[in-house]
Amino acid sequence: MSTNGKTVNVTIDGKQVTVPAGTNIIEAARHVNTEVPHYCYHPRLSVVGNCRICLVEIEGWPKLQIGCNTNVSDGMTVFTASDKVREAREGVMELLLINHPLDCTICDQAGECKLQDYAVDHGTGLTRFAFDKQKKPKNVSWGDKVVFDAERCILCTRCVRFLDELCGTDEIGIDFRGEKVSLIVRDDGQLTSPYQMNIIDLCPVGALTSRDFRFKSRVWFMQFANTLCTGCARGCNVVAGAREERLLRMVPRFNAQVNDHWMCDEGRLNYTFVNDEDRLVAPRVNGKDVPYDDALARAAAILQKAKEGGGGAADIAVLGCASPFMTNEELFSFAGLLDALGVTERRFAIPMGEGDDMLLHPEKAPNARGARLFGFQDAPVDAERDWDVVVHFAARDGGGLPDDLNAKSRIVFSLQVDKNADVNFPLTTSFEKDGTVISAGDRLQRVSKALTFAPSHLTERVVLDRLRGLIEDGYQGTDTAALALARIAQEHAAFEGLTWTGIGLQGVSLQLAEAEVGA
Amino acid sequence: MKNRVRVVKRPQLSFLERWYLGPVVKGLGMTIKRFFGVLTDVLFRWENKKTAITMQYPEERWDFKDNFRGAPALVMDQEGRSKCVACQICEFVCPPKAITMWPAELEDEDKVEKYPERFEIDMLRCIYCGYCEEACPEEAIFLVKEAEIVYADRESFVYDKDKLHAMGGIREDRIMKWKDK
Ligand code: SF4
Ligand code: SF4
Ligand code: SF4
Ligand code: FES
Repeated sequence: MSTNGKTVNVTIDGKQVTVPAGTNIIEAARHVNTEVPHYCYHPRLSVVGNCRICLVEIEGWPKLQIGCNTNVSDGMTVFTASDKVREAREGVMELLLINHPLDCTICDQAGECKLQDYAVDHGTGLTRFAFDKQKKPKNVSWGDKVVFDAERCILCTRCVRFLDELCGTDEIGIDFRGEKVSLIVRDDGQLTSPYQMNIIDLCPVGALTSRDFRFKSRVWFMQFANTLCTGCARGCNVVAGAREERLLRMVPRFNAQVNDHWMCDEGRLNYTFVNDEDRLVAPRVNGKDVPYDDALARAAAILQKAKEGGGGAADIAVLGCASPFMTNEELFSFAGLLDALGVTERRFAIPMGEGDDMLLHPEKAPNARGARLFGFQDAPVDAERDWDVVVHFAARDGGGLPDDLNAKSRIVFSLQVDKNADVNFPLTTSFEKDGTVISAGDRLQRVSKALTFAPSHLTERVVLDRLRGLIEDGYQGTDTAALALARIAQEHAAFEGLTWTGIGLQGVSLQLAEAEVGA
Repeated sequence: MKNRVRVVKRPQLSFLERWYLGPVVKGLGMTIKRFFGVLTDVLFRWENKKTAITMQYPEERWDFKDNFRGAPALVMDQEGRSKCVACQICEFVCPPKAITMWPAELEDEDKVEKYPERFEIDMLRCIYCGYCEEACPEEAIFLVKEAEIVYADRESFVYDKDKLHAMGGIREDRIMKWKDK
C-alpha cells in the first residue's frame, strides 16, 4: 500500500468515509462498520481473489467486483448489500457448499466457522446439486500439530500463502485439477515450520484442525479470557479458552505492537502445566495441609523472628527469591514485605532458551523486566552462606535456587508440593489471576483470569499482603489487581498515571531507564 | 380499532336442573353400577376384569404408548456400533445438564473420527423432556419406555455408555457411515 498520505472520499452503502488512497473495499467498509464477507482475503497476506464471496457493486461499473482486490478511488460509490450483490453471494455460497461434507457435527471449527456464519447470513439454505458429492481424503495428518480434511477445504490458499510469504518455508501447495483439486504438503507430507499452527486460525473453515485441541471441547462450552502467552518474554496477546476450570487452548489475539495476528507453536502448546493433577491446592505446614490462617500465622512467626533479628544483618540472614513468572502487583507486594523486614538480599533467575527473529524470545518467562524494576537482582545466590530464612517463589520448573542451599526455614510458593518447605503456599499460574507484566520492549500488558483455581484459594498477592499486615502494624493490602496497580502508580515513576482500564487489552509502552530493567 | 367484544349468552338451566335432584340420582346410579361391576369382577372374573381399573403393581404393569417419553438411551445400528458421534449437541441442549461426555478420536479409522469415550446421563437430573432426542443429528439418542428408575444411592443413577446402549438396543439404519462414507 503506497499511500503517500493521500486520501480519497468514498460512499459505502450511503455512508461517506475518507480513507487513505490504496485501501481496498473490504478495509474501507470496516471504517463504516460494514463487514464485506471474505474467505481468502487476509490483511497480512497477498491478495489472490479466489473465493469470490466478497463481490460488491460499484456505481458505473458494469459487473460486480471483488472487494479484496479493488482499491477505492475518489468519488466511488459502493453497494455491499444490493439485490445484485445478494444474489451473487447466494450463488457463491451454493457453489462453495456443493461438495462440502456437512459434518459440522464432528467438526471442531463449528461455532467459529466462516462457512457456517456466511451460509446463515448470505446463503439460501438450499442446494440444487442432486449428484454424489466429491470424496476426498479426510483426517490427513500433516505432522504432529495439524490435521487436514480435504473435503472441508474451500481452497482459499490462506495456509499456502502464510507458509510461503510469512514463514518462508513454502510447504503447502495445490495439486490435481478440476474437482479433484486439493492441497498437498511438500516432501514427506509433514509440516516443519515452528509457526505452522497459525494456519489453523487462518483457515476460515474446519479444514485445518489442531491435533492438540482436537475434540477436547466444542467452542460454545468454553469461557474465554483475553490474556497473554507466558511462554517467553514477548508476551503474545492470546485468547485463552477453558472449560470446567481446565485450560484447553490458546489462540492469538491481534495486537499490532506485539504479535500482530500470530503466535509461535511453542507458546501455544505451553499451557498443560495449568491442568496438572498434582498441583498444590492448599497451604502446608511441615508437610500437612492446613487452613490459610494457620499457614499465615506460622509464616508470620518465622518472619517476625527474622525482623527482630534485623533482616539481612549478620545475625539473621534472610533471602527473598522472586520469580519472573510473577505479576508486577505480586512483585510489588513481595518487595513491600521484604522492605518491612529490612531484607536486602533479593534475587531471581531467568530461564533461558532458544529465540528466533520472528516472535520467540530467548527469555522463557514473561516478567523478568518487572522483577528487575521492583528491585530483584538477576544474580546467583550465595550458596556458601548459611541462610536463616528463605522466602522463595518457585519458577514453573520449580527452580530458581541452588539445590544445595543451606536454609534453616523456608517459606515456599510452588506449583507442586515442596518437601523442604516449612510453610508451602500454592502458586497460581498467570491464567488463574489478574495482573500486569512487562513484556519485551518494555510493554506493560495485562494478564487475566481464564479459570478459577481452587475455590478457597488466596492469591499470592493477598497472602503477601496479609503476611505484611501480621508483622507490620496497620498495613492494609489491596483487594484487586487494579487497586494494587493504582498503588504502584503512586509509588513508581515509570507507572505514573497508569490505570487498569488505561492499559486496556493492547497494553502500553513504558519509558524505563536502562538501569532500572537491565538489558 | 374495531370493537371486538362479543356477548356470550349464559346457558339457562331448566327447572329440573335447577332442582338438582335429577343429576344427583344420575350420579348415584353410576356409583351403584360400578359397585356391582367391580363386585362381579372381584368375585367371578378377575382375570378378564371389565369394571375394576386397579392394577396389581408390580406384577402387572402399564404398556406405554410408542411416543412415551421415558429415560434417554443410546442406540446402536444393526452391526452393533454406536450411532453417537460425540457431537455434544445433546449435552448443549439438555436443560438440566444431565448429560456429560468425554469425546475422543478413533485411532486407525479414517471415515468416522470422533466417538464418545465416556458418555454419562444422570437420571436424577434428567427431566425426560426429550430435547436430546430431538436435537441429535445422528438419531443416536432416544427416550425409551423405561420409567421406573429406583436406587438407594445417588451413584447408581448415573448411567454409563454401556448401560445406555443396553437400554437403547438396536435400531436399523440405512446409512453406515464407517462403510459408505
Ligand atoms: S486448508 Fe483452510 S486455509 Fe488452507 S486452502 Fe483450505 S480452506 Fe483455505
Ligand atoms: S430427556 Fe431432556 S433432561 Fe433428559 S437427558 Fe435428554 S435433554 Fe436432558
Ligand atoms: S446429539 Fe446424538 S450424536 Fe450428538 S452426542 Fe448426543 S447422542 Fe451423540
Ligand atoms: S475475499 Fe475477495 S475473493 Fe476471496
